[in-house]
Amino acid sequence: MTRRRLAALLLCLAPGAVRGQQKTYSHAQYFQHYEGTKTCLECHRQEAENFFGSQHYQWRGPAPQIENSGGKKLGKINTINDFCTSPTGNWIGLVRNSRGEVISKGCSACHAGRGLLPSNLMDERQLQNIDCLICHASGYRRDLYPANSGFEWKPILWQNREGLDSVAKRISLPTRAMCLRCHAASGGGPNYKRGDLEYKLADCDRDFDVHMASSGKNLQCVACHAGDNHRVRGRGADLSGSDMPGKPLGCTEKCHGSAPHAVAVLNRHAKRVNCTVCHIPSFAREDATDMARDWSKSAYNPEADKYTATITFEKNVRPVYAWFNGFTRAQLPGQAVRRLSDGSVGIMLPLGSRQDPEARIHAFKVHKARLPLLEGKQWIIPIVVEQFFPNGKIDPAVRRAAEEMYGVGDPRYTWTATTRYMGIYHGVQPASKALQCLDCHSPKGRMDWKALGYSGDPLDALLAARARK
Amino acid sequence: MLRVSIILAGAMVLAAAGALAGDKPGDPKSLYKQNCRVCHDKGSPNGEYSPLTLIQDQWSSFFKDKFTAAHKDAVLPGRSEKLLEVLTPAQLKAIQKFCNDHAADSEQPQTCS
Repeated sequence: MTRRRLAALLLCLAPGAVRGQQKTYSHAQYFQHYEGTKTCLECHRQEAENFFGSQHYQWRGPAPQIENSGGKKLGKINTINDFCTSPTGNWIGLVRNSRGEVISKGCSACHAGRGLLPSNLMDERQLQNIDCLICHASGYRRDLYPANSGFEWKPILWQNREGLDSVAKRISLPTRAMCLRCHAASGGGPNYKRGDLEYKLADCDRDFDVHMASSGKNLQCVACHAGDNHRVRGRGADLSGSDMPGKPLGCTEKCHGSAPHAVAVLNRHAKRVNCTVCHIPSFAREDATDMARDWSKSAYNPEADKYTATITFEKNVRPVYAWFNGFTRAQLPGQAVRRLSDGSVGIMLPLGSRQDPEARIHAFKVHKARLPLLEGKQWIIPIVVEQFFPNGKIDPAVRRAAEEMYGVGDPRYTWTATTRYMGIYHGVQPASKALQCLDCHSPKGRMDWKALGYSGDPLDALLAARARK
Repeated sequence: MLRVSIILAGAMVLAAAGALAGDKPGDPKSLYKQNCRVCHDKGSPNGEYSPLTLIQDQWSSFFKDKFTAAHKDAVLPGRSEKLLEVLTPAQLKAIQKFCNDHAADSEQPQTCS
């Protein structure tokens, strides 16, 4: 008996023990060889047709929460942002530095398609352009290759049929690691853009995020964000389009209820204060995030032999707090800019106020930038950044963007400061690390009460009123 | 039972001693470049291979079943010793791990360029 136990132990310790087991993959029995998206379409045509209309494919969607959308569908494909500015002129291509190294491949690197621009019209070519594996196959990786009509995103295993077949059969719901490959890298690098979507979320502890901690709840992104028919829920505060505008995402709906605290005063707070305010005291806790991007001043990175905007990074950033009622004002292309009291142009501004019963105080990353502004029209001009990266020449990159976006061939432009409010929703810390009363209600508290519409700390007013009674 | 415990303890001591005695293999990427890429670069008659050429399972079976046979006569360019005589077990293990960590289906596929 003892000998048998020892033999079993040694067998378990043998390095090849696991290797010998036959691995089984979810789609092993459904096809022999992966021949591109048409293999998926044989069984999943309906899913592909649903996905074709989604934000992840179209990069635009209904925008009823954008006050000035005018009923248009909006998204990153047809708006201007203050990071890489726009896919216009930047969609796909191999951009090389002076050493011949590839330094950029275009925005389509994170589009769930194989290289074509998404079209309004659904046809077979567009359906076969959908890259199902990028979200559904755990070991799938792709790269940009020259193709007949330009470029195409293809599996890096395209010359290794056995390997590609193996990877293509590992189909699952998207994992955190899969989502983060695009969502943590947006803006040009790790956590540059969002501030609260870090690669660390793929495998973190409870101190970093109580929901996604590998050793805790281990929730995948889709646990909260999955909608129906390949639609995704949640738009934060600064996404223009939304897959499911009728079903906003919140903490209290399914999981935490409307009175989640044991203490009544905290539940009273929750009526006017979003959960994130207390439960995400800071963001960019692992990777520094881009807090300001000045496109009027180029910076050279000698290691990468690449020019960029001048970017200011910060780590462990304390959020800015503002009222938000679910609606946003966007600075859209072809609309004259509206300026804030500090003179900057509001790229994305949360709406709501202390007097608005639908509004609650939310936590934000406030991103500053400098962008080109078309004189006369007062329209923001994007930048063909792919043209700028290798040589640092901003003027031709602005001119080309003005031509491509507005048809203005010889633009006169100036530079303007911009401000964008971005909701902070991820990186929820344990209750023991949540803000305490004095973090806000003290002379050195983190709330700017006047900016929030109060004459001072509302607790002082409450205590004074009670003292008078 | 006592005999079993002694055997197990002895095995653990020997394993620990082996680990301590093992030389430090060096930077895995450099090892790959110096010992693999030199003969498997782009356009090589031996075939172009980088970590992302294969998936992890393929690398595992390659090192387990094919590596030794395929390289029994391999000599590094500019050297007289055979590759299998030059590589220490620790170096080979480090190269194997590097290929696995940067395989086509890993989180960080690499070309080793």
